[in-house]
Amino acid sequence: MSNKLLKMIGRRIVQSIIVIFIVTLIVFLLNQMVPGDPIVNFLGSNATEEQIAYYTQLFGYDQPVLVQYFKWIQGLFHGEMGRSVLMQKEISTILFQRLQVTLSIVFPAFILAVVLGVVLGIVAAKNRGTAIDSVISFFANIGMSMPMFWFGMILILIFALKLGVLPTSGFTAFSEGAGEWASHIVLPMIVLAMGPLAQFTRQTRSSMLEVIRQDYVTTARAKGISQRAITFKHQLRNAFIPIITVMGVTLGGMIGGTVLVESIFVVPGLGNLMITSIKGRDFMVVQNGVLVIAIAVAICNLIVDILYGVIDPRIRND
Amino acid sequence: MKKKLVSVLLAACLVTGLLAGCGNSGSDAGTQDAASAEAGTEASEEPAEAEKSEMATAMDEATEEEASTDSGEAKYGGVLRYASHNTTSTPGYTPECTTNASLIFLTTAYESLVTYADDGTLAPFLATEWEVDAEEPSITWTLREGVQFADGTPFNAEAVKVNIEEYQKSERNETANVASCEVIDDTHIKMILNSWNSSTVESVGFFVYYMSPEALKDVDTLRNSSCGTGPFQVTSFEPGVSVKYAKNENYWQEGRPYLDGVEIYIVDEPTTRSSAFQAGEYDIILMNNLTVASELLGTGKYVVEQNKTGQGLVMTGLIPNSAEDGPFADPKVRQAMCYALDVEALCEAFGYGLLTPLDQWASPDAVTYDKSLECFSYNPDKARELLAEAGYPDGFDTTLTTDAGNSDMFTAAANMLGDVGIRCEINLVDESAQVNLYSTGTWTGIMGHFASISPDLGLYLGRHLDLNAAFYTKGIQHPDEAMELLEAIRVAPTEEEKIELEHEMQKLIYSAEDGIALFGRPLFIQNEPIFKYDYVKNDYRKVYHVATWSLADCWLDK
Repeated sequence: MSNKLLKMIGRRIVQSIIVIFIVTLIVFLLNQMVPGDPIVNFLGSNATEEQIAYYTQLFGYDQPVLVQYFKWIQGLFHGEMGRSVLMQKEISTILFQRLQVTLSIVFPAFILAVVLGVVLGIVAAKNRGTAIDSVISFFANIGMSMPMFWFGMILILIFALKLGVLPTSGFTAFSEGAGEWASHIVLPMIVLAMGPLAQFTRQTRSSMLEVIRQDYVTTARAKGISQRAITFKHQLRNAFIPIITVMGVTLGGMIGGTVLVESIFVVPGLGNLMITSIKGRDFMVVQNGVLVIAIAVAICNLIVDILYGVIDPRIRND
Repeated sequence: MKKKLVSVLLAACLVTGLLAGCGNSGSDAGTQDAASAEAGTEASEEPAEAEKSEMATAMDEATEEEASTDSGEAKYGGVLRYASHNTTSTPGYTPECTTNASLIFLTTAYESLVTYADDGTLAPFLATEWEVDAEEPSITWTLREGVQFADGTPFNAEAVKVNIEEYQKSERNETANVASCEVIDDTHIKMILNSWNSSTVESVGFFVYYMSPEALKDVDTLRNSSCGTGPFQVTSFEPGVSVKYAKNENYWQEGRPYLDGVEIYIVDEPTTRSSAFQAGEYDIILMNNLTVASELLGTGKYVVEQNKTGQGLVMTGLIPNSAEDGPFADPKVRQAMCYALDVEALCEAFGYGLLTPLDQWASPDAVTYDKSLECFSYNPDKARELLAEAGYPDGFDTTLTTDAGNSDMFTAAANMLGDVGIRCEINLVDESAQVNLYSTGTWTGIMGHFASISPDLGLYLGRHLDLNAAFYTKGIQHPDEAMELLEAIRVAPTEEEKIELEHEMQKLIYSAEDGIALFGRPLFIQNEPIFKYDYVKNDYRKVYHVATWSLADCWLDK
């Protein structure tokens, strides 16, 4: 790895840290503005004022806002995220468990979307204007516009209720059985992959069409290089930069955006946790959850930047 | 041209595919249409009514069917799988289980001193009898012999004392009136009270769930496990996901439980819960969404139950803010609001036959319901008259705050109020924001009122009327007459006197003649049905208390 590339990565890491710090501040302040009290939600309608006061003090919600913020940041430097009011557990433990579940659906979905999306995009570009292109573009449009919730419900009705071949909901960890894990993630994975798959298909097709008539492609063809080599070495490599940008943004979005899929398929992941915590005003979980998502997005963006440099020498030497 | 043709063909394929996916509903709808056509105009004029009565019949038949099949010989083995939207922060450290939603988790592993009988009165459980002394004041409990916790620690008077003290550490309301506990011997304990309160027996007897004193030495572990005297004990707890239990080998009831284990799943999305139940992934589900519940009822395939004792039931109503300086400070305006609402029509339109209209702070089957009392009923002319008398002949503008769950019904209610001149602007908030409004008493105009209507007004109505209460109290007036009556109910020395006073309270608040409508207009009872397969026997879910079950006798006829 060249020095310039290392410097670029270093710059990006510093930028990411600043962004993450700003995110923590914004999320914390927004939480303060949201109406609702975690303790009141936790205790329910049978609570007395004494009980509310006791738990408010226990969880430190009686302290000034700034003190609460700095205590949280201080805790983070010591690897402590605090305790969930609703779940009465260490937040770091909960988040780690939930993130594992989310990633075990997001990564297969992402890989599925990337592989199929790029292949379909290339096929569509190579067959531009033909029936194949129309079919692929049509389904890509459908995939982009299909409501996730509706699609998930339809899949449950068909594959779980009507055909009975897959479970309707739930999650089994890979360590508890690969078969069970696979059967539980198939439907959420398809629903989660649908939008990105369509997006990658369209992006690959459009990028490939841009490079397909470039002079270097004509030159390569004139030199007698095989069509396969032209496609993968010259066209795809040049078309890949905008595709990678989309992939980076999409992967980050998929980690933070599994809320709906996890809710439909009762997957105990990060998205599900965030919804429960927002509803219950479990602010500490929300803050830390957003922090984890922000870090994940920052890592995705960093990987994208590195890949830019790897694919395009102009970028790493700039 | 060729491209267009391909596009049209693709669109046709897609539509066909989607229709095939929705095949079931499509064919059902077709059948229904054909039936309606055969029935002619009469049927098409009142489809909602027909649907409602069909559902009511289905529920009755289902319940009867269950009663007739419960008499078979119990079988050992199997795991009962239950799913609902309710969750808990801990299945094991009971003082932190503060809501009714937690009770289903607690009552799988833990037991209380008393339970409820079929008629909703208190019945012995871990205590075999109790004596109250309103003069001293005290309660002396006789405990059941031979009971031990899952870890083998004996359940005795000392264990009861330790548990009461643990609840007091958490400032639990239920044990606040206990000044001290005197251990008389292993099976007898006397609780000295701060003052006599007729609700204390129920508070201490039913709402304290006993944990092993040994297990209490490590509360952090107990939070994620359990150690009670109940038929099952926690084997795994995933917050917001599931709680799994295995048979308690030390259970005190001979030959019980029949089941090997119990699994409780938290499934927030009602459609997914229903689909999983229909696919056989759960044996019992609680259904909080009336639309989905009505669809399940329509299948006629499952056993359906709703609570009948009134214990633990929650009502939904509309409560005006009478503490703020505005029209609702005047009782006549509150009465006008009550007269303006056609509750029967609202329940019919939005309840799918599953809502019981309400006019007092009690289930119509409960002892605290005063059957002789004439309550507010729909009378828009009377409402307009009262508004004019209160100085609002042209009505006034106000706000009606609602969460998404009740927004349809409350919007219809707002229209009814608008007809008499109480013009409401709808303010849609989420549940937590709503909780914040009623805990601070800062809602403007009218908002949803959610209250437990278990048959003990001193305890449950007191939670909203008492000056020290946490909810609604800051948004309502506290007339002397009501406060004195509340106190009288609390200190009533006998059950008969207490019920008489409770009926007086109902009259004071809900009487059509001169009720002060302090809590506005009750609308309906939230009595979410449970659906189960007919092979599930004796789970007693919803039978004694709406949020509990009793699984010692439960078995699966599979």
